[in-house]
Parts: sequence; structure tokens; C-alpha cells
Amino acid sequence: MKKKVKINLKNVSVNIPIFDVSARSLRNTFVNFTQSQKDENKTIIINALKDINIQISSGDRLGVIGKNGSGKTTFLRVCSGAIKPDIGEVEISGRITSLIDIGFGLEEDATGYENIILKGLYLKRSPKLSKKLFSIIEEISDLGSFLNLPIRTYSSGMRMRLAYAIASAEDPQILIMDEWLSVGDKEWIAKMSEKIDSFVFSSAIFILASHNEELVNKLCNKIIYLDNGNLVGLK
Amino acid sequence: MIFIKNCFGNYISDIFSTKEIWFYGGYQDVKQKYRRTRFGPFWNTIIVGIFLMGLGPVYSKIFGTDLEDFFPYLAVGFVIWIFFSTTLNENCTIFQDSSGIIKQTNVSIVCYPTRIVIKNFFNFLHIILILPLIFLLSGKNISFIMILSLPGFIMLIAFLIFTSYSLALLSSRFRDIPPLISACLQLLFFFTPIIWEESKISVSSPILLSILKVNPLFSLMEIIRSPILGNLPSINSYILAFSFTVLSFLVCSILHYNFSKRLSYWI
Repeated sequence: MKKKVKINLKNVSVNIPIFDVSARSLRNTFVNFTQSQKDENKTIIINALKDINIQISSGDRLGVIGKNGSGKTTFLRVCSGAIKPDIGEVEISGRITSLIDIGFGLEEDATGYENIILKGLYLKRSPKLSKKLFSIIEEISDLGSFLNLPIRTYSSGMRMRLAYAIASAEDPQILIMDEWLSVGDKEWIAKMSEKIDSFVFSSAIFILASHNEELVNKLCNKIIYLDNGNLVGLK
Repeated sequence: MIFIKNCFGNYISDIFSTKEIWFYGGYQDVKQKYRRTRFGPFWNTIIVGIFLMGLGPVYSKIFGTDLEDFFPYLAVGFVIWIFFSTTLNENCTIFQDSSGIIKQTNVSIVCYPTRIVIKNFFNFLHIILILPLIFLLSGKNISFIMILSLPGFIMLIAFLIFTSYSLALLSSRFRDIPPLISACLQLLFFFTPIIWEESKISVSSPILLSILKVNPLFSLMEIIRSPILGNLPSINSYILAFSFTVLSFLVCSILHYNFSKRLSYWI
């Protein structure tokens, strides 16, 4: 199974258009269309990634280093399949666990258990499978009877612990992280550090974006440097 | 040929591969909305019930029709209308509302509008509980012909799933579409035979009638409502409704094929 896991990026460019109000209106598009002239100044385009070529295969622990706005998060989003590049090709095979924004997809008024099922759906888990994972998630999140309460009653740390527990209940094939985990209090981290390590290192592919070079050097065996959307270095 | 296969196959397979998300998600949405209320989703039934009880007697006087005939006619039409209009209205902003999730996962985007359709369908199942009461009040008999409304109803749901997706996609690119849609829907209420009957207008102005039939809800309404009221719908209505459903499918799968990849740039 692990042999198949890979991510290939071929000549990938991502240009994100920032529509201003006039470019977004239907009238303007229509006027431009009928007069057959393109008003190019209207839309600002940000070149978030420029012509990236990289092959990530099973066993790679890839560190992505770059300044703010250098395209790290966009790179991660492309690798997770959430953004399809406008130029180039992306080939992804393997189950993806994305921890870019760990708290997405949680519903405030639903209970912890309901959220396990709801969020599981977006991780491509059937409700049946999520129910099987209840015991693991109870153990990792360490939330006890709080799981029966709606999560609007949780503190933000507890929410993160639940989100992390849901994401890490299954061994990941491709694990994508934006900065290292900042979940939970010291006690919880101390208690779970072994579990976190084994979770991270059980993945076939691990991608971590960070500006902390030391951390990346410690955890990764392959490092790319991004600057202004360009891939400027590979180690 | 390959284009056709990719285009239509893509959409269909995306719908089926995300079935758990839209089904369970839609169910959760209904549950969520009515948490801590005493009547839960039955509030829908109560609200529509109150509205109909007030509107029915007054309008039957205004139009000079028998309440026994008019009341069930209005009730069935109105219930379908609520399903149709709330689904389309809510769907216009669905992609903006779920942008957080869309930018995180590679789950196919077709599940979000479909989830709204399912949610409204569950609400609809609660609302129709008002119909037996109204049928009882107006002494309407129940016949086996009712079952014939099922194909029409399936067509309506399919039409809504396809159209919702097209509208949601276009609305996330062009932000003027949502207000435009809600304006059009208001007008559509009066252009669809809900508070007036088709037979009245067909005599006085047949040309107007044929123009009004451009409205997809016109024929969809006819093939659902007529059997419920014990009449057989005309074959023309079936043909029209079916054509609109197929057309909506074609439009949405072409949009899906060409633009679904661009969505994460638009929201």
C-alpha cells in the first residue's frame, strides 16, 4: 500500500486573481465581452507559485521553508488537492491528512461525538468508520464526558485537541502540516508526545511548512526553499 | 465522445462519491437549526399552516372560487413553492459560506449544494404534514392517482440539485447573481400557478400562457400537484418538465467540467 503513495508536481503555477468590485460584476463582464476588449488592469493577479517541479515519494519528509507570503501555504494546499493549479499538473495518490487549519469543519452546536462524524465525512470516513474510531479519539483528545456536550462550551484548547484527535485517529499516508502543532496545554502535550511522534512518523509522506529552520532540519530529510513563489533551493 | 463521457461522467461520479457528506450533512443541518426549540422542524409545518389558514379563505373570496377546491390546490402548490424557492435562495451563497472547508480538502464541491437540497427536502417532509389536515378540512377525497406524483417529485429534486449547483458556481464568480436570483424568485411566485389556476388564464390569453410555460416550475408543479388532487396531468407537461430537467443537467455538468477547478480561486 505504502509503495503507491506519491505526489508529483509538474510545471505547477498558481495565479490567484483578486477581483475588485468592478471586475466581479456581471455587467462589466458583459460589457467587456460585447466590446471585445479586455480591461486587464481591473483584476490583480498574484503569482503565488511559479513553475514548481517536484516529485515527492514514499519515505520523504519534506520541509518547506520560506518567508511570510512566499507561497508556503499555497504549496501545501496544492499538495493536499484543495487548489487545482491553473498551469501544470498535479498527481496525488494516497489518503491525505491535512492539518493546515486544524479546526475546519467543526459545528458549534453539535456535540463532540456528532462532530467526530461530521468532520470525519470531510476526511472521507463513513459515519460507521467514525463510530469505530470513537474510542481512539476519546483516548487521544482526553476530553472525557465533554464529548457529550456541544463544542461551543469547549475552550479553544479543548477544541484543538478534539480536532487533532479526529485528524490523527487514522494513520495518515500523506500528512501535511503548516507549522508544528500548537495544540493543548503542557500536560496534554507531555502525555501525548509519544503518540504525536508516532502519528507523524507513521506517515509515508510528511510535509511541514515552517520558518523555523532548526525544527525542519530535525524532522525532515528533504528541504525546499520558497521565495516569492519560486522554488529557489532544494536540499 | 470522450468529452461527453468526461463531462457528464465526472459530475455523476462526484455526486455519488460524496453521498455520505450531503446526506448526513443535510440531516445534521436540520437537527442543528432546531436545537433547543420545542417543536423542532415541525415549526416549518406550523408556520406554513398558519399562513395557509389565513391566505386560503381570503384568496378564495377574492378570486371567487370554491374554498373546497381552492384550499387544497393552494396548499399543495405553496408547499412545493417553499421547497423550490428556499433551496435556490440558500444555495446562492453556499460556496462562500463553506469556503473554509473548500480550501482545506479535496472533497468534490458538488456535495455542498446537494446538501442544501437534502436539508430542504427534510424540511419539506415535515411541511407536507399540513396537507392531510387541509384535505380533511375541505373534504377532499384521497385517491390512488396520488402515487403518480412521485415521478414528478423525483424530477423536481433532480432539477433542484442540478440548478442549485449551477447557480452556486456562477454566484461565487459573479456576486451580483444572488440578489438577482432572489428578485426573480419573488416574481416567479406570481408567474407560477400557485394562487391562480391555469384554466382561468388559458381562455382569456393563450399567448400569455405559453410565455409563462418557459418557467420550469410551471410544468414541474403541474405534474406533481395534479395527481395529488386526483387529476391526470397532460403528457405535454411531462415532456416539458423532463426537458427542463435534462437541460439543467447538461448545463450543470458542463459548468462543473469547465469551472469547478477554478472555484477555490473565486471564494
